[in-house]
Amino acid sequence: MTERVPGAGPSAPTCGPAGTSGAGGRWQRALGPLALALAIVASAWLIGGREGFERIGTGGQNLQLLPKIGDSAPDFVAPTVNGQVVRLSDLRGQPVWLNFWGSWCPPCRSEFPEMQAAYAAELQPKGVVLLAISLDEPAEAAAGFAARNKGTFTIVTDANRSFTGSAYPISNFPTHILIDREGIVRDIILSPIDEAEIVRRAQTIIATGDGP
Amino acid sequence: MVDAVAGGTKHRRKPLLAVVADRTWRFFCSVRAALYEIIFLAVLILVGTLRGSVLPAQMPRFVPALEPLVARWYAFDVFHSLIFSMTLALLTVAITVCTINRVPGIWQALVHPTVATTRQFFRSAEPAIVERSPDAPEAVARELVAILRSRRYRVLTEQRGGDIHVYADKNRWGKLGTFPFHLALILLLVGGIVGAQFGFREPVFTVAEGATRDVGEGTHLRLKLERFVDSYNQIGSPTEYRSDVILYEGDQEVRRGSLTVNNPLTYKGVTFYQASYGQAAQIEVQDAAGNVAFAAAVPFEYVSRSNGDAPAAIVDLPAQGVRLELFFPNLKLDAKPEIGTIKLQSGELYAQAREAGTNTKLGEGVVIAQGDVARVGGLDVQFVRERRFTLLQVAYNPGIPILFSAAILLVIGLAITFYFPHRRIRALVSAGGGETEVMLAPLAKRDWGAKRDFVRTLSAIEARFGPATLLGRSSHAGD
Amino acid sequence: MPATDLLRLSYYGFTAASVAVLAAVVFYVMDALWLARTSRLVTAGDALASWRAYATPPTPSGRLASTTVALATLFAGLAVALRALATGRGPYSDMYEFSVAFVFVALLGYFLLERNYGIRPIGVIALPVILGMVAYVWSLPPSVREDRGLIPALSNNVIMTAHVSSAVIAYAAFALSFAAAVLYLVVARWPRAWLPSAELLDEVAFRAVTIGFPAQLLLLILGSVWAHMAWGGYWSWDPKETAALFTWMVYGGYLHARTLRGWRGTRSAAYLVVAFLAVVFTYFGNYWFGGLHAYSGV
Repeated sequence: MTERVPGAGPSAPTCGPAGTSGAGGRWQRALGPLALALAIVASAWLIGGREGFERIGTGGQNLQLLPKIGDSAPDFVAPTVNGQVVRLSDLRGQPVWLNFWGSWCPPCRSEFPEMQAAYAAELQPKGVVLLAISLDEPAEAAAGFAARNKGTFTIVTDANRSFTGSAYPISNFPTHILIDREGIVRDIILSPIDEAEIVRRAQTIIATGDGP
Repeated sequence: MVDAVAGGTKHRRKPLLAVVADRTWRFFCSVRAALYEIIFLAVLILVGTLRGSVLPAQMPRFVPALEPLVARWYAFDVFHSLIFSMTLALLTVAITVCTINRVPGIWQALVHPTVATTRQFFRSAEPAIVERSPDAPEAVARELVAILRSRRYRVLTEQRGGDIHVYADKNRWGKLGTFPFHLALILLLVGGIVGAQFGFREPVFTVAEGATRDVGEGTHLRLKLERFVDSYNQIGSPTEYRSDVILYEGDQEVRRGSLTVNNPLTYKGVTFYQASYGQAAQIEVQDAAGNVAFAAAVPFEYVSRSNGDAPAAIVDLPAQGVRLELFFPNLKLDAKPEIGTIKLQSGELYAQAREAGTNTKLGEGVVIAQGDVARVGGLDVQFVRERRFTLLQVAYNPGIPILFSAAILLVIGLAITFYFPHRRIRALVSAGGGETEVMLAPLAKRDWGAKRDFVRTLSAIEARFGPATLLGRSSHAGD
Repeated sequence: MPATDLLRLSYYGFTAASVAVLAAVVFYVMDALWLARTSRLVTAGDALASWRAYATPPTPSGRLASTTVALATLFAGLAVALRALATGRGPYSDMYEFSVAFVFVALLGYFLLERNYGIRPIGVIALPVILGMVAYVWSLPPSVREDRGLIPALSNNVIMTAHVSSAVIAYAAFALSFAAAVLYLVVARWPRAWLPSAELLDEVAFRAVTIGFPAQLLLLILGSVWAHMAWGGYWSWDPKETAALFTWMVYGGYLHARTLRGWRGTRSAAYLVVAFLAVVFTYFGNYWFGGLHAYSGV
């Protein structure tokens, strides 16, 4: 073993195998680590296959529950609290504002007057249809609240999420989805709105394809 | 203790005050006392920290007899207790005294180090080496000094008899790093005291949408909440809590904007932080004569005493001698919309009037639906609409600049101490047998890093004088 | 590349790092056995050489072990970088991201230590500690592999990234000082020619603490700056921050004992081994504390 090799460490072996100098030697020396790296990557790939890594990235933040902006809005058929039936696709040609809510949800109750004001003053005159879909509560609760608060828009009821649940799996209350005349989703709002905000954001569905 | 008593009798003529001062000083300098203080502090911190964990609640499950002890544990707010502050103060004084105590020694070592050494030193030091040269001692010493200086050592020499003693060191100012560091520790405490003494902190500052609230505390600030918005992502996790606010100083609007959890609003050192939110109701109260007694949004920042899941609010109307208590439906979805025995629907509130001061009920409570008016306690109460409120923290802390400069000082002090270690080398140049002998060794007892530095410097010396020979015995023989 | 692919690749990177760490543990043990068998054949130089360039005698198994560590570091670094690219933030949203970053920094620190001091047998202790952390990550539910977003309080990318970076540096440095201290205790009782000298191990442990101690301080400062910005209180005696302060004081005690009282050798090594318990306590503290750091409950 030679001594007095300053700074010698394992990465700079003090006695390398004979004949490993020069370009060819360097290649040979890189071969071992390369093979090792390949073996490690191969085993990671095998483990990944067995552990189901191909599913990673489809959950969490990247989980797509609602239709994407730019996609066409999935259709549904559901009863209103007045005993009528609405079908989303029947409203093609009109801008549609979907609101998912519940009278049990405080921010929904708080924004109800804002929705009514925006609808009556600005959006209904421009042809916007507002469907307020009440979830997870009996039709009477939603109807009673809407009546006491003088809502003039359509209240849809889906107590068990059996009509809209598969197309619109909602986990936030309120959720607002704005759909244009062609049935394309233009905006999704995952927070309460006020009058000014919804009027401003609804311009995207009013503007497109203005008039027949 | 025995020593101290003996010392006391010996120096009887010393004034009492001086003796007391001396003993106090020595107490604070004592490493043992400091150790006990730190251990005591650690125990306090452990008690205070575990108080917030699941441990205390679990203990009586296994040993029921511990119940009273656990109750006292919960009652003991360690970090706000006198004993905790006293321990911190004691430790601070100890740090100050200890640090001051070290000044003369460190200063002496820096400015007037002992240059002269003995042959004995080289026999016990390791690694100690010998170099030989045919040149005269003075010439050899000159060259040695030049080599050491070129390696950024400060070199001092002293001639004693025929011998030349050499002392070389570098990074000596690194020893001073301990002073900014310990000064910073004291500043931390000072900053904490300044903040507590001259600042204020209101942890629960609720404002309902549309309402304005005085900040108080000697400021003329008033904050109005325009709107509170909470946003979520599609899987239902919150992404933002935002309050749109307007700040007034007197009647002047001074700030208008939004504040979110990591973006507080600051004006003249007073900072508003987003903390929480809740339900509010906009109500209007008219007295019997039809005068508006109250018209504002009220935050439901309390809960009902009979139902912890029902938000509640209090409206004091001193002019009418009435306190109104308002309740919202239960928030628990499975129990909704019940509140105690009163069936309350979503979009309704329950109002109860009490006489101000005596708290006696003024008639029966009433249920008011959103938009409706009802008479309670002789007043007409209208539930205009439901709103939301924001819960902010308001803080003014003049100690912050002190604290953060202390933090910077701490980091600087540590960096100096650790990354500029004091390195020292001694050498003895002497004539003997027609040649000059140089003995060299580092002051590096059990300090591997200093030894490696010495060996690196040695390579420059060997380049001039040839390979060195090892002197004496080494603990780490080459193996 | 879409975020989903980056997340997936990042996890493949971590898997590769895990395989490499496992292999490295095996190789380091093999190397120790090899050295123990053949060390009599290694000739000695003069004592100066041991300070001039102490190096563990190079063996094929040792070279294999070092290469494996280098690869593990590379893969773990890729895992951290790809995930940061996918999520657009530093590794601080939960214990998963934090622990993967810890594995990377601990590997990197060990790699640099081995290069700088030329000593290999510390790996016999250090790599199993890192493997323990790898095992902890694999014990987490698969949902952690997803980007689960941030609670609003954490949305301060610059400070949070710096806060968590200093945390992983501090904890990794303390873990390495622990490894060196354990080996010190072994060497003190059982000195062998092929093992690094006790003095060198004392130095390595001390050096690691001189990295970890300022990093832990920075962690505390940044945490309090962030708390100041998010909540208006720079210090709230939250269990985890108190535990971190306590850990800092414990290592401060070691530094004082060493520089002022001249503590060296077995005593300070034993101290470091015990002090590492405080680190482990702080690291996993949010599991049994609750408090403001409870976000990371998985």
